[in-house]
Amino acid sequence: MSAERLRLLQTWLQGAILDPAGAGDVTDVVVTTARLPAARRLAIYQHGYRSRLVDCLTAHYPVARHLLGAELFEEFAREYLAARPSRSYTLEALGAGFADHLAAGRPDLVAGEREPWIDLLYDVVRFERAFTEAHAAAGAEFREPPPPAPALGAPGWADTVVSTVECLRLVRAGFPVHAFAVAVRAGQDPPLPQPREVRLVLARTDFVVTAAELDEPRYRLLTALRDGVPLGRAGDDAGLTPPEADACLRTWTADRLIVGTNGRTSHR
Amino acid sequence: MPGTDRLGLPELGFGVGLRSRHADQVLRRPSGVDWFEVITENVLDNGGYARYLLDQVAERFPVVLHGVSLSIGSTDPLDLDYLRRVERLATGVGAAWVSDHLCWTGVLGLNTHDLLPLPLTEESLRHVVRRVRVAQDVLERPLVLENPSTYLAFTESTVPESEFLARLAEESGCGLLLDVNNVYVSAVNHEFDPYDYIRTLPADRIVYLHLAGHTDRGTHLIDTHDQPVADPVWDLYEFTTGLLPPVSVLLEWDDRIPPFGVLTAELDKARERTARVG
Repeated sequence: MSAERLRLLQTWLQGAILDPAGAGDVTDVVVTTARLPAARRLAIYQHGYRSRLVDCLTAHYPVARHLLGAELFEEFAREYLAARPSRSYTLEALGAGFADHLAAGRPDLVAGEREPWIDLLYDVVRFERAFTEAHAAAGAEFREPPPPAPALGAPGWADTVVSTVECLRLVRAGFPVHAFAVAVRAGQDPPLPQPREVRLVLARTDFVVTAAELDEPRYRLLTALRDGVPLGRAGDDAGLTPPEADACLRTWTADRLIVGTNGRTSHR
Repeated sequence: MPGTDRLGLPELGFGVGLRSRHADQVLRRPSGVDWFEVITENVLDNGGYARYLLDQVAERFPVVLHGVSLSIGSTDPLDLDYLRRVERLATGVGAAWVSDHLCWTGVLGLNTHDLLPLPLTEESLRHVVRRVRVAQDVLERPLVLENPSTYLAFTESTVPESEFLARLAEESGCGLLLDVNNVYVSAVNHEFDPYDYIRTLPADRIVYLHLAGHTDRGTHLIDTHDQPVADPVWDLYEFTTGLLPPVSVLLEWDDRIPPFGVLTAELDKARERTARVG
C-alpha cells in the first residue's frame, strides 16, 4: 500500500462517516464476518460520530434544546455538523459556529418576515456560546488586583488603557436571555421572555459564570475599554462624564473585570 | 516478553481518570488512589476550573496526560502547534508521561473526534513511525500509544495489530499503553485471540494498563467506559499482569460516572487480581 493509498482510504472512511449516504459498497474495503457485516461495522462509526457530537452540542446548548425541544434541536445540530464539521482538536470549539449557522439559514428571512421566536433562539444560542467561553477562558481567580489607574484629574487619567479579564464576554440581545437561561438550567420551564433589549456582561467569579445587565452607556464603555480604547475617549464616546467613567473603572477593577492597567497586570 | 525497562518511566500504582465531580474527594487525598490521568484536551486551552483542579491534583499526586487528538496515524500534517501546547502543559504540571492512541481522527483538516482505525500495513507502519519520532522530538519525551478498540478492519491490512504495535515501539522508541478492555473488545469484534495478542507485545515497552467497562450489543462490543470492568476482561488483566513486572494501572470511567467509592472499589479489585498472580 502506498502513502497515497493510505490517504485515499482515510479520505474514504471519513467521507463515509460524515456522509453515510455517499459511502457506497463497503465490502471491498472493510472486512466482513458472519456475525458483523462490513456495512454494519461502518454504521457503528457513522452512528457514533453523530451521537457523540450531538451530545456535545446538547451539553453546550441546554437552553436552546429546551426552547426547541429535543427532536428539533437534534435536527438543527445534525444540520450544523453536516454544514460545518469540526476543524478543531478540541470539542470546546465544536459549537463556536452554531449561532452563525442558524442565522445564515433563517427561514423567516427568506420568507421576508422576522419570526420573534427565531430571534429568541438566535439570542439564546449566542448567549450560551458566550457562557461556554466564559466558563473555559482564564479568569481572575487568585489574581491580585492590578496597579491602580491614575486618579480622576491626575495626569494620565484620560490616557489609561486597561486589559479586561480573558473570560469577559459582552452580549447584546433582544430578549432577557440570561434570566431565561438561569431558570431553564435550574430545571424550570419558564414562559418565553418578552422582547426587551439587554446588554449583558458575562464573567466568572470563583469559577461560577455570572451574567449582569449594563445600561447602554456603560456597555459601550466596557466594550471600548476591552478593545483598548483609552479611558477618556471611551467615556466621551459612551456619553459618560469623567466621574461616571472613573466610577465604572473602579467598580470593574474591584469586580475583577479589569485585570491590567497600562500594560501592567498582576500574576495569576 | 522479557525485560523491565518501560523507557525508564515510573510505576505509579493504581489510578483513575480525574473528574471534576469527584474534586472534593480527590483533594482530600483519598486512600486507594495513587495517581490520576487527565484527558489532555479537557485542560489544554482551559483557564477555568478544569485547569485549576489539575494544578491542585498535580501538587498532591502523580498525573498523566492522555490525549485524543494527536491523530498520529493521519495523512494530514502533524499539528505541531497542538504538540507544543501539550509539551508546555506536560512540563507545567510535571506529567509523568504523555499518551495518546494508535489511530487517526481526521483528514483534509477535519476532526471526527473519533479514534479511527488504520489500515495496518508496512506503509502505515513506516508512516506512523516517522510521525512518532517527530512528535517525540516536539514533546521532548517519549510518547506512549494505546491500542484502540475498533469495530472495523480494512481488507488491505496485512499486519496484525499486536505485531504492528510491537514493531512501532521497537522502531520509533515509543512506549505502549495496553488497554486490556480494548484488546478484549477488538478481539470479540474481529474474532482473534486476545491472549495471543498480549503475548506478542514487548513487556519492556508497556508503560501502563487501562481497564474499563464495555457494552455488549449482541453482535459486537462497544467500548463505552460506563460500567464496571467485565469478568472476561478481569481474567485477561490477570493474565497480563502475570506476564509483566509491576506496572501502573488506570481505571477509565467516562460516562454515567459513579460516586468516587465505586471507582476505588474497582481499583481494589485490580489490586486483588494483581496480588493473585504475585
